[in-house]
Amino acid sequence: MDCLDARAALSPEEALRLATHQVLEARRHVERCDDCQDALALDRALQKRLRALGQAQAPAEVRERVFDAVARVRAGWPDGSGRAGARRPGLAPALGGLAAMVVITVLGFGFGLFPGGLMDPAPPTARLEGMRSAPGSAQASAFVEDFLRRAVQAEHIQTSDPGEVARFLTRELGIPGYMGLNLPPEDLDLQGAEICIVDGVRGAVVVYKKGGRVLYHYLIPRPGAEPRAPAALGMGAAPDPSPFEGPGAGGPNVGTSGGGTYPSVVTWASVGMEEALVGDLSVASLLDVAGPRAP
Amino acid sequence: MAGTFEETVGRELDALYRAALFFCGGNGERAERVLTSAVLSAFLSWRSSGGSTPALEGVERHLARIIVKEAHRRPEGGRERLGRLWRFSHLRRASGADTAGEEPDLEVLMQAALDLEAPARIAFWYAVLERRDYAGIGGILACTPREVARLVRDGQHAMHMSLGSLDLMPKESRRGRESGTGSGHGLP
Repeated sequence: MDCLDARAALSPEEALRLATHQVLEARRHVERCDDCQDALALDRALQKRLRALGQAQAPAEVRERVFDAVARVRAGWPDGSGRAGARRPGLAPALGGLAAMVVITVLGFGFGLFPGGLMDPAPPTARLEGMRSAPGSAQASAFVEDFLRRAVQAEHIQTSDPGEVARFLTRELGIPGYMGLNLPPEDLDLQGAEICIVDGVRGAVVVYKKGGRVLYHYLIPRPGAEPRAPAALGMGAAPDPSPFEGPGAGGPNVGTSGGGTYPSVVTWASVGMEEALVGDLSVASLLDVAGPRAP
Repeated sequence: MAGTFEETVGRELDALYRAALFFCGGNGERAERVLTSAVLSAFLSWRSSGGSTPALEGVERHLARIIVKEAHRRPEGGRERLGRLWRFSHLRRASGADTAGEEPDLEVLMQAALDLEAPARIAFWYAVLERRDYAGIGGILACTPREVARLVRDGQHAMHMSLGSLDLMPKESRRGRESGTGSGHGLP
């Protein structure tokens, strides 16, 4: 056994390993080899000297741009890598929060939103128990889970300007001409928009309030999606008015009453896009807000 | 541990970014570019395999491939620039403007990495900094553990010389010999 084989067998030095014939022979070699002992000493010294290199973290905007590029490739857009490297002057403050949101969502949100997992070839691994029973229930649970998470850990771009939201959606996801929901502005307070990642797909949530209650409009790009009329999903059965009013009525109220589980969920599809409304309003109210959308 | 591609890569993105930064000599823009390219290439491979190939290993292999292909080296006059960087860092510390203690600036350490050939730089990072075994590094570089041992040896030597020229290596870094004069890199 020569030096190269001995070092290959014994590196890294501190790792536990079985005392195989090869390992024992390598140890015998190192014990009598000055060069190998020099190399080990140098390894330790370099490790100590360079330890600061092991502490750098990827900047939030780098994370955001890397996953932005992946999302674009997932969605079938050709300029995934080119756009990822592009700088976006003026958006940095907002991106910091958004990137954190994306990271939180990516790391903590591994359950499936849509049957078949959109374009994701791997089965989602962290599906919630009880979600497998009915397809409708599974979809509703995915939205409810995100609603619950946002209730305790929300990061928003705050704006009541529909034009700013529309520009944000175009810029971030290539969604042109966001028209909002089917209610006059005086009945629906626009709060802002955020990026979300659902089942590995990067989308957006536009946040509203209606009568003091929070309402989320999800837009998840899905190439090949055929238009589908709005329909309520299994879990949402909130009576109207909600019993969860009072001091906390300004935020999302979640709970069950009379067999119904909050929040309610209504989904539909437009060309290339899955959409959903989630909120602690009645299903009828959500369908009304979603409006008549022809399949 | 299975998961979506983004989940798996997201958990290790800091480590991947550190590696890319080191491979690119501390150039953040270049590191982001090669990392993004590696992640996208790995994602396409992962998707075409139906999600059956390991996502993280795929990113590491593509990252190594890009670095070797582009062969980032220190530009002309780079060693002088490295010396100036270190002197500036040293002066700043001496003037009290920097309280980082005895640790040299990251930029100096990263720049020193450009003295290593690309494959040696990669092997050096995973062996010395990430403490991977040579078989695993061989998987990243598509070579045998013995070849990895040779690359690590070359990388250690070049890094030692580079840092030694800046007086950044401790005297005891080589057992019983003067720095740079031993035969530790003249292996059979």
